[in-house]
Amino acid sequence: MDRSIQKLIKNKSLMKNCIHTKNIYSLLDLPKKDETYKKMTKHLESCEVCGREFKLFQLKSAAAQVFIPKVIMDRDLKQSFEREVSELFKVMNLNNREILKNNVRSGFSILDNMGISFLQNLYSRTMVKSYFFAFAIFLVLKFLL
Amino acid sequence: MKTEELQKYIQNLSPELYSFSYVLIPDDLQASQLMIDCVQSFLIQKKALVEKMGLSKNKILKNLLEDTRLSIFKIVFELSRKRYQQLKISLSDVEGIGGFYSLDFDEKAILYLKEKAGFELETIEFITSTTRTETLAFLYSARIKMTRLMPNQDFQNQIQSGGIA
Repeated sequence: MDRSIQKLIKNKSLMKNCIHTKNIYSLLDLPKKDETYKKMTKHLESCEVCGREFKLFQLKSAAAQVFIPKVIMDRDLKQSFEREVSELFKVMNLNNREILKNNVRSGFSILDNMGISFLQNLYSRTMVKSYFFAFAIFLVLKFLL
Repeated sequence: MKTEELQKYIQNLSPELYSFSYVLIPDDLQASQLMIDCVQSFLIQKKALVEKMGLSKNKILKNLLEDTRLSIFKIVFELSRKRYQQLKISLSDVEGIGGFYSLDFDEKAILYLKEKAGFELETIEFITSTTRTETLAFLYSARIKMTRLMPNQDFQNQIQSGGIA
């Protein structure tokens, strides 16, 4: 009889709830610098229910890690992946030589464009007008002096 | 830094990329194809940056390679989410067995990134584009579901008594 009463008392104490119990689980994942972590740790020290619950959850989670897979890659798959990656770099012209070539080409095309626009400017209307104006000044100065 | 270095770095990432891809899409062919597509997508997105890498040599940022790794993980997550919806029916056999693969897509990804890949919460938030609260919620629900995988009551009792830790 005494035993059953003791059991009942024990069960009653186990059934005690705390409103923070659900939040206490986040302690596993929160960074230690976090303000919530600090608050929860403080609460954990004083609350028996949460302390017990958290310890149990922690143990269960640690044991459940066995079920999270870390898949190992096949050697053939690895080799084919490496081949594909190097192929991608080639196709996308991402090798250093190709990049250098492209940059030299783009550099020359800038120079080309500058030369062309310079020549075009030489024959532009404004320039032709200025040639006439300069020639006129030249003639005037020649007659005057 | 030369682009060859980046190429080697990406090639060496293959084991962890494959593991993550397989966790999200549990099919070896689909997972390996996903990896290749992700690298291609990364190179297209960051072509200008990679081209600069090839010329600037030592003037690159210190964490550039780590950024590359995280960016590829992010692309793996994004692409696999789309493919998962298309392949859901064909993957139902694996998911039907139960266990880790029966978790929701986000739960699986976040739990894997936390426990097996060992990423910090900030990094997981970046990869999965979730907020802190969402990440914690997914982790919590995944953990709860995983703890239910314990085989029997004896095992549970063993844990409670501290026999298994």
